[in-house]
Amino acid sequence: MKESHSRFRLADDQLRTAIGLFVAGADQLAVITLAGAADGILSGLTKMRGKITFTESIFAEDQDVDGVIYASAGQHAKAVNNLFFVNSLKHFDRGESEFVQLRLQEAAVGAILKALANYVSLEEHDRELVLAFRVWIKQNLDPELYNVDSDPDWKPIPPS
Amino acid sequence: MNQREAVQTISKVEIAKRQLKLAVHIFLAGKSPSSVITLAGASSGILYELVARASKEPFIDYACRVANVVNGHTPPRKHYAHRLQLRLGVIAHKHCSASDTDEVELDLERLAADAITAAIIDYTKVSDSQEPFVQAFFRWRIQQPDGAELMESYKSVPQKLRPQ
Repeated sequence: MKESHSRFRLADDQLRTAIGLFVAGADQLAVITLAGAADGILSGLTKMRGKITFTESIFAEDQDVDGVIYASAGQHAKAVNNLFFVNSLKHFDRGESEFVQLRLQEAAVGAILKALANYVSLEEHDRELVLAFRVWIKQNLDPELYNVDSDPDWKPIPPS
Repeated sequence: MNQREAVQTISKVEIAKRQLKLAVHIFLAGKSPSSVITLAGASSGILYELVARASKEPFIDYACRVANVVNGHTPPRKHYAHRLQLRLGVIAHKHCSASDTDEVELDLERLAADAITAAIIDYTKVSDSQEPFVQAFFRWRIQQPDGAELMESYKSVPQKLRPQ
Protein backbone atom coordinates (compact mmCIF):
# COMPACT_ATOMS: atom_id res chain seq x y z
CA MET A 1 0.00 0.00 0.00
CA LYS A 2 1.28 3.46 -0.92
CA GLU A 3 2.22 5.58 2.06
CA SER A 4 3.87 8.93 2.52
CA HIS A 5 7.56 8.79 3.52
CA SER A 6 9.83 11.70 4.35
CA ARG A 7 12.92 11.77 2.17
CA PHE A 8 15.00 12.25 5.29
CA ARG A 9 13.63 8.94 6.67
CA LEU A 10 14.50 7.11 3.43
CA ALA A 11 18.08 8.36 3.80
CA ASP A 12 18.23 7.77 7.56
CA ASP A 13 17.08 4.15 7.13
CA GLN A 14 19.71 3.42 4.49
CA LEU A 15 22.51 5.13 6.43
CA ARG A 16 21.51 3.23 9.60
CA THR A 17 21.61 -0.06 7.63
CA ALA A 18 24.99 0.86 6.11
CA ILE A 19 26.50 1.56 9.54
CA GLY A 20 24.90 -1.57 11.00
CA LEU A 21 26.34 -3.74 8.22
CA PHE A 22 29.74 -2.07 8.55
CA VAL A 23 30.15 -2.56 12.30
CA ALA A 24 28.78 -6.13 12.01
CA GLY A 25 31.52 -6.93 9.48
CA ALA A 26 29.00 -7.67 6.70
CA ASP A 27 29.57 -7.02 3.00
CA GLN A 28 31.25 -3.63 2.64
CA LEU A 29 30.28 -3.29 -1.03
CA ALA A 30 26.70 -2.89 0.17
CA VAL A 31 27.85 -0.41 2.81
CA ILE A 32 29.29 1.86 0.10
CA THR A 33 26.16 1.63 -2.06
CA LEU A 34 23.78 2.32 0.84
CA ALA A 35 25.84 5.17 2.31
CA GLY A 36 26.25 6.65 -1.18
CA ALA A 37 22.50 6.50 -1.84
CA ALA A 38 21.71 8.00 1.57
CA ASP A 39 24.19 10.78 0.85
CA GLY A 40 22.52 11.51 -2.50
CA ILE A 41 19.32 12.33 -0.59
CA LEU A 42 21.02 14.03 2.36
CA SER A 43 23.08 16.37 0.20
CA GLY A 44 19.90 17.28 -1.75
CA LEU A 45 18.05 18.02 1.49
CA THR A 46 21.03 20.05 2.77
CA LYS A 47 20.88 22.24 -0.35
CA MET A 48 17.07 22.53 -0.16
CA ARG A 49 17.47 23.97 3.33
CA GLY A 50 19.93 26.58 2.14
CA LYS A 51 23.00 24.97 3.69
CA ILE A 52 26.39 24.08 2.23
CA THR A 53 26.94 20.38 1.46
CA PHE A 54 30.10 18.56 2.48
CA THR A 55 31.52 18.52 -1.06
CA GLU A 56 30.68 22.21 -1.55
CA SER A 57 32.57 22.95 1.68
CA ILE A 58 35.78 21.37 0.35
CA PHE A 59 35.45 22.49 -3.30
CA ALA A 60 37.79 25.52 -3.04
CA GLU A 61 40.32 23.57 -0.94
CA ASP A 62 40.39 20.73 -3.49
CA GLN A 63 41.05 23.02 -6.48
CA ASP A 64 44.51 22.77 -8.01
CA VAL A 65 45.64 19.97 -5.69
CA ASP A 66 48.21 18.00 -7.73
CA GLY A 67 47.31 20.21 -10.71
CA VAL A 68 43.67 19.05 -10.88
CA ILE A 69 41.17 21.84 -11.66
CA TYR A 70 37.45 21.07 -11.43
CA ALA A 71 35.32 22.89 -14.00
CA SER A 72 32.23 22.82 -11.79
CA ALA A 73 31.00 21.87 -8.33
CA GLY A 74 29.12 18.97 -9.97
CA GLN A 75 32.29 17.60 -11.54
CA HIS A 76 34.05 17.86 -8.18
CA ALA A 77 31.17 16.12 -6.37
CA LYS A 78 31.35 13.26 -8.87
CA ALA A 79 35.11 12.97 -8.34
CA VAL A 80 34.61 12.73 -4.56
CA ASN A 81 32.01 9.97 -5.05
CA ASN A 82 34.45 8.18 -7.37
CA LEU A 83 37.03 8.18 -4.56
CA PHE A 84 34.65 5.90 -2.66
CA PHE A 85 33.62 3.87 -5.77
CA VAL A 86 29.95 4.81 -5.30
CA ASN A 87 29.33 4.90 -9.06
CA SER A 88 31.41 1.80 -9.91
CA LEU A 89 29.15 -0.29 -7.67
CA LYS A 90 25.90 0.72 -9.39
CA HIS A 91 26.88 1.37 -13.02
CA PHE A 92 28.64 -0.61 -15.72
CA ASP A 93 29.11 1.16 -19.03
CA ARG A 94 29.86 -0.20 -22.47
CA GLY A 95 33.61 -0.58 -22.94
CA GLU A 96 34.31 -0.37 -19.19
CA SER A 97 36.59 -2.95 -17.53
CA GLU A 98 34.87 -5.94 -15.88
CA PHE A 99 37.01 -5.45 -12.78
CA VAL A 100 37.18 -2.85 -10.03
CA GLN A 101 40.27 -2.36 -7.86
CA LEU A 102 39.67 -0.81 -4.47
CA ARG A 103 40.55 -0.70 -0.80
CA LEU A 104 37.15 -1.82 0.44
CA GLN A 105 37.24 -0.76 4.10
CA GLU A 106 38.76 2.64 3.28
CA ALA A 107 36.05 3.28 0.70
CA ALA A 108 33.30 2.14 3.07
CA VAL A 109 34.55 4.38 5.92
CA GLY A 110 34.84 7.30 3.49
CA ALA A 111 31.34 6.79 2.08
CA ILE A 112 29.80 6.66 5.57
CA LEU A 113 31.74 9.71 6.80
CA LYS A 114 30.73 11.74 3.74
CA ALA A 115 27.06 10.88 4.33
CA LEU A 116 27.38 11.64 8.06
CA ALA A 117 28.82 15.10 7.31
CA ASN A 118 25.59 15.99 5.50
CA TYR A 119 23.44 14.02 7.98
CA VAL A 120 24.58 16.08 10.98
CA SER A 121 23.79 19.32 9.13
CA LEU A 122 20.08 18.38 9.22
CA GLU A 123 18.06 19.04 12.36
CA GLU A 124 16.35 15.62 12.39
CA HIS A 125 19.63 13.70 12.69
CA ASP A 126 20.08 11.08 15.40
CA ARG A 127 23.06 12.05 17.57
CA GLU A 128 23.29 8.52 18.99
CA LEU A 129 23.84 7.00 15.54
CA VAL A 130 26.66 9.43 14.81
CA LEU A 131 28.21 8.86 18.23
CA ALA A 132 28.02 5.07 17.84
CA PHE A 133 29.96 5.19 14.58
CA ARG A 134 32.55 7.61 15.98
CA VAL A 135 33.11 5.34 18.97
CA TRP A 136 33.51 2.34 16.66
CA ILE A 137 36.09 4.24 14.59
CA LYS A 138 38.01 5.30 17.69
CA GLN A 139 38.14 1.74 19.01
CA ASN A 140 38.87 -0.11 15.79
CA LEU A 141 40.77 1.98 13.26
CA ASP A 142 44.46 2.80 13.17
CA PRO A 143 44.89 6.43 14.38
CA GLU A 144 47.96 6.78 12.14
CA LEU A 145 45.85 6.11 9.04
CA TYR A 146 42.45 7.50 10.09
CA ASN A 147 41.46 10.73 11.82
CA VAL A 148 39.74 8.89 14.68
CA ASP A 149 39.40 11.99 16.88
CA SER A 150 38.01 14.26 14.12
CA ASP A 151 40.96 16.60 14.70
CA PRO A 152 40.90 19.37 12.04
CA ASP A 153 44.72 19.60 12.11
CA TRP A 154 45.29 15.83 11.78
CA LYS A 155 47.51 14.53 8.98
CA PRO A 156 48.02 10.84 8.10
CA ILE A 157 51.44 9.32 8.76
CA PRO A 158 52.63 7.94 5.40
CA PRO A 159 52.24 4.13 5.33
CA SER A 160 55.45 2.15 5.86
CA MET B 1 49.91 -0.68 12.88
CA ASN B 2 50.17 1.84 10.06
CA GLN B 3 49.74 -0.94 7.50
CA ARG B 4 47.43 0.25 4.76
CA GLU B 5 44.72 -2.17 3.62
CA ALA B 6 45.61 -4.14 0.47
CA VAL B 7 43.94 -3.33 -2.84
CA GLN B 8 41.31 -5.93 -3.85
CA THR B 9 40.23 -6.75 -7.39
CA ILE B 10 36.53 -7.54 -7.64
CA SER B 11 34.65 -8.42 -10.82
CA LYS B 12 31.46 -6.64 -11.81
CA VAL B 13 29.54 -9.94 -11.73
CA GLU B 14 30.70 -10.47 -8.15
CA ILE B 15 29.64 -6.91 -7.23
CA ALA B 16 26.20 -7.45 -8.77
CA LYS B 17 25.81 -10.83 -7.08
CA ARG B 18 26.86 -9.73 -3.58
CA GLN B 19 24.53 -6.73 -3.61
CA LEU B 20 21.59 -8.74 -4.95
CA LYS B 21 22.18 -11.58 -2.49
CA LEU B 22 22.20 -9.17 0.45
CA ALA B 23 19.07 -7.45 -0.91
CA VAL B 24 17.27 -10.83 -0.91
CA HIS B 25 18.50 -11.62 2.62
CA ILE B 26 17.33 -8.25 3.98
CA PHE B 27 14.01 -8.63 2.14
CA LEU B 28 13.27 -12.14 3.36
CA ALA B 29 14.21 -11.08 6.91
CA GLY B 30 11.53 -8.37 6.65
CA LYS B 31 14.02 -5.56 7.26
CA SER B 32 14.67 -2.21 5.55
CA PRO B 33 12.78 -2.22 2.21
CA SER B 34 14.56 1.03 1.32
CA SER B 35 17.94 -0.73 1.50
CA VAL B 36 16.55 -3.61 -0.57
CA ILE B 37 15.42 -1.21 -3.31
CA THR B 38 18.82 0.51 -3.45
CA LEU B 39 20.88 -2.69 -3.43
CA ALA B 40 18.71 -4.42 -6.05
CA GLY B 41 18.76 -1.23 -8.14
CA ALA B 42 22.57 -1.06 -7.97
CA SER B 43 22.78 -4.71 -8.95
CA SER B 44 20.46 -4.09 -11.92
CA GLY B 45 22.61 -1.16 -13.03
CA ILE B 46 25.54 -3.55 -13.47
CA LEU B 47 23.62 -6.58 -14.71
CA TYR B 48 22.28 -4.84 -17.82
CA GLU B 49 25.75 -4.64 -19.38
CA LEU B 50 26.73 -8.14 -18.17
CA VAL B 51 23.65 -9.66 -19.83
CA ALA B 52 24.26 -7.65 -23.01
CA ARG B 53 27.91 -8.82 -23.13
CA ALA B 54 26.64 -12.40 -22.83
CA SER B 55 24.55 -11.70 -25.99
CA LYS B 56 21.32 -12.24 -24.08
CA GLU B 57 18.28 -10.01 -23.67
CA PRO B 58 18.48 -7.71 -20.61
CA PHE B 59 15.28 -7.03 -18.65
CA ILE B 60 15.05 -3.43 -19.91
CA ASP B 61 15.32 -4.57 -23.54
CA TYR B 62 12.63 -7.17 -22.85
CA ALA B 63 10.40 -4.44 -21.37
CA CYS B 64 11.00 -2.29 -24.48
CA ARG B 65 10.09 -5.26 -26.70
CA VAL B 66 6.84 -5.79 -24.77
CA ALA B 67 6.06 -2.06 -25.08
CA ASN B 68 6.60 -2.35 -28.82
CA VAL B 69 4.18 -5.28 -29.13
CA VAL B 70 1.58 -3.61 -26.91
CA ASN B 71 1.88 0.02 -28.10
CA GLY B 72 3.32 -0.39 -31.60
CA HIS B 73 6.53 1.53 -30.96
CA THR B 74 9.80 0.92 -29.09
CA PRO B 75 10.59 3.51 -26.45
CA PRO B 76 14.22 4.74 -26.29
CA ARG B 77 16.07 2.31 -24.01
CA LYS B 78 17.70 4.96 -21.78
CA HIS B 79 14.40 6.76 -21.34
CA TYR B 80 12.61 3.52 -20.50
CA ALA B 81 15.37 2.46 -18.07
CA HIS B 82 15.01 5.78 -16.24
CA ARG B 83 11.23 5.38 -16.12
CA LEU B 84 11.60 1.90 -14.67
CA GLN B 85 14.03 3.19 -12.02
CA LEU B 86 11.46 5.86 -11.11
CA ARG B 87 8.66 3.28 -10.89
CA LEU B 88 10.75 0.96 -8.72
CA GLY B 89 11.56 3.79 -6.32
CA VAL B 90 15.30 3.52 -7.06
CA ILE B 91 15.61 7.22 -7.97
CA ALA B 92 13.74 8.38 -4.84
CA HIS B 93 16.20 6.37 -2.76
CA LYS B 94 19.36 8.00 -4.10
CA HIS B 95 18.51 11.51 -5.28
CA CYS B 96 16.75 14.60 -4.02
CA SER B 97 16.54 17.68 -6.22
CA ALA B 98 15.48 21.25 -5.56
CA SER B 99 12.06 20.63 -7.15
CA ASP B 100 11.28 17.62 -4.91
CA THR B 101 8.87 17.79 -1.98
CA ASP B 102 9.96 16.67 1.50
CA GLU B 103 7.61 13.67 1.32
CA VAL B 104 7.19 10.96 -1.31
CA GLU B 105 4.39 8.38 -1.79
CA LEU B 106 5.74 4.85 -2.11
CA ASP B 107 4.63 1.27 -1.45
CA LEU B 108 8.00 0.23 -0.08
CA GLU B 109 7.34 -3.50 0.43
CA ARG B 110 5.96 -3.96 -3.07
CA LEU B 111 8.71 -1.91 -4.69
CA ALA B 112 11.35 -3.92 -2.82
CA ALA B 113 9.91 -7.18 -4.24
CA ASP B 114 9.66 -5.67 -7.73
CA ALA B 115 13.23 -4.29 -7.64
CA ILE B 116 14.57 -7.72 -6.72
CA THR B 117 12.46 -9.37 -9.43
CA ALA B 118 13.83 -7.05 -12.13
CA ALA B 119 17.44 -7.69 -11.00
CA ILE B 120 17.09 -11.43 -10.46
CA ILE B 121 15.72 -11.98 -13.97
CA ASP B 122 18.94 -10.51 -15.36
CA TYR B 123 21.09 -12.31 -12.79
CA THR B 124 19.80 -15.75 -13.84
CA LYS B 125 20.95 -14.99 -17.40
CA VAL B 126 24.58 -14.62 -16.39
CA SER B 127 24.80 -16.91 -13.40
CA ASP B 128 23.43 -20.02 -11.71
CA SER B 129 19.67 -19.80 -11.20
CA GLN B 130 19.88 -22.70 -8.73
CA GLU B 131 21.82 -20.62 -6.18
CA PRO B 132 20.04 -20.77 -2.79
CA PHE B 133 19.29 -17.04 -2.55
CA VAL B 134 17.73 -17.05 -6.04
CA GLN B 135 15.63 -20.12 -5.26
CA ALA B 136 14.62 -18.67 -1.87
CA PHE B 137 13.26 -15.54 -3.54
CA PHE B 138 11.39 -17.51 -6.24
CA ARG B 139 9.86 -19.73 -3.54
CA TRP B 140 8.74 -16.65 -1.61
CA ARG B 141 7.17 -15.17 -4.77
CA ILE B 142 5.23 -18.33 -5.61
CA GLN B 143 4.00 -18.64 -2.03
CA GLN B 144 2.35 -15.20 -2.16
CA PRO B 145 -1.49 -15.14 -2.35
CA ASP B 146 -1.38 -14.40 -6.10
CA GLY B 147 1.51 -16.81 -6.78
CA ALA B 148 -0.51 -19.67 -8.30
CA GLU B 149 -2.58 -17.25 -10.38
CA LEU B 150 0.61 -15.57 -11.63
CA MET B 151 2.08 -18.91 -12.73
CA GLU B 152 -1.19 -19.84 -14.44
CA SER B 153 -1.51 -16.52 -16.29
CA TYR B 154 2.09 -16.82 -17.55
CA LYS B 155 1.08 -19.97 -19.46
CA SER B 156 -1.23 -17.88 -21.63
CA VAL B 157 1.43 -15.26 -22.46
CA PRO B 158 2.19 -15.50 -26.21
CA GLN B 159 5.73 -16.55 -27.14
CA LYS B 160 6.57 -13.13 -28.59
CA LEU B 161 5.81 -11.51 -25.22
CA ARG B 162 8.03 -13.85 -23.20
CA PRO B 163 11.58 -13.10 -22.09
CA GLN B 164 14.31 -14.57 -24.31
